[in-house]
Amino acid sequence: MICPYCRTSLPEPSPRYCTSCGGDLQVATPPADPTPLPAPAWTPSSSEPESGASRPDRGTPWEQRGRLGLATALIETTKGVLLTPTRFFDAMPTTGGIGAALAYGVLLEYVATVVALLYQLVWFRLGGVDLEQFRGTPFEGAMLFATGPWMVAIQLVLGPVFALMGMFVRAGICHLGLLLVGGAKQGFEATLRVVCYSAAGTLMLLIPLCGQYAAGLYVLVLMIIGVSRAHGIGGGRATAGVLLPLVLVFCLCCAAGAGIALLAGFSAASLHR
Amino acid sequence: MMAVDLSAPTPAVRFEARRGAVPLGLIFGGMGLLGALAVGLLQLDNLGFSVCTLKTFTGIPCPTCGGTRAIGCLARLDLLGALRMNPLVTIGALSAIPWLLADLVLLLRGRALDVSISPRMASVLRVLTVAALGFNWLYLLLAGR
Repeated sequence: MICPYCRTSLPEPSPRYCTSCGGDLQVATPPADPTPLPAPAWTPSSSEPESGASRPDRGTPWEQRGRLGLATALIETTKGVLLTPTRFFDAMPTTGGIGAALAYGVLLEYVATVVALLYQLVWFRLGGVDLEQFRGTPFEGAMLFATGPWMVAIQLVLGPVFALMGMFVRAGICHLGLLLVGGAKQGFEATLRVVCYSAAGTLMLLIPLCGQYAAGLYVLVLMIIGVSRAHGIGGGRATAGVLLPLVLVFCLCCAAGAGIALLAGFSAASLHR
Repeated sequence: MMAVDLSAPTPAVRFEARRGAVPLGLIFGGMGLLGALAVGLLQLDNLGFSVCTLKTFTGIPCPTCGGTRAIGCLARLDLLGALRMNPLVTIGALSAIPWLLADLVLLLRGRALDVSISPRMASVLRVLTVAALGFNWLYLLLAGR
């Protein structure tokens, strides 16, 4: 639906008052011929011909997995997010349910977490971390637990649950940051969908050793691009909205990473405006 | 098209039980309760060392220092202790409870609580939030968290 006062695109079902100008949507009737929204930049790469009588499919490839097939949808979505994020998030609907996006994000994060866990086990077996250095320190118990079989079992069994909770926490923190900088032009669902699809960046965990750092940074960059396109805001505001809560909460440990992500995300989002 | 009275006042904050809305109160409130349970059972508020990187390197507490201990106090129903640990985290956690309860009740009717805020109120809330973050951090610095 389009607001008859300020022409802002509104989520469905539409709110009582326009989220942009505050106009009462129950007083005015929408224009008879609203300006149609521009067609999404992304089109599926499926070779299946479109029926002339059917309306064009909407949503990301993952949300069209019933038509494309599970494997194709997964691969196309991941390729779109990782290789052409601006085009992907331009075409991504900001409403329409969160189930599919959550399923995608949880699946990717869980796969990446399991692989990272295997790397960790191999690394410890090869003596990559000397636990003796922690003996007698306050960290001894925590390190023994973190590298022990219980942690492995917990992560394997509860990994999807942790990933699901992590999606909501990240989206909540990100959306709060956007609200603080005045960048939340769409609802929470838009932010959550961006966070879910940005989880494709966790596949960087497949890279041994430095993968965890690359994954963290790349997910941040994808989130910055994603909220910039989904909320229709500039790269600077998107960067501030995504990184402000991280800087506030994690301060020093994220300062270096935030600085790099700030530069990368701002540049990427601004170049593709 | 009907004549539109754009001068009609819009409410600053509007609560609505909307069909099809995501029950965020239930989700975040539920996670908060699970977190409080984990903190209470595993005594994560009594690790013996700080997990705050800023405090470890500089001795300066970050804006959320004391947050886990505040949650631990809430898990033991020690409200005053929680407020002393980190007022903002405590108030934020407590404000999630009515939201959780509202969504729980509305879930039975297939609805969820949706909050609409006018642009003017959003600006006011923005300023108040930044001020609250600042004062909370100042309190943590003075209290030596």
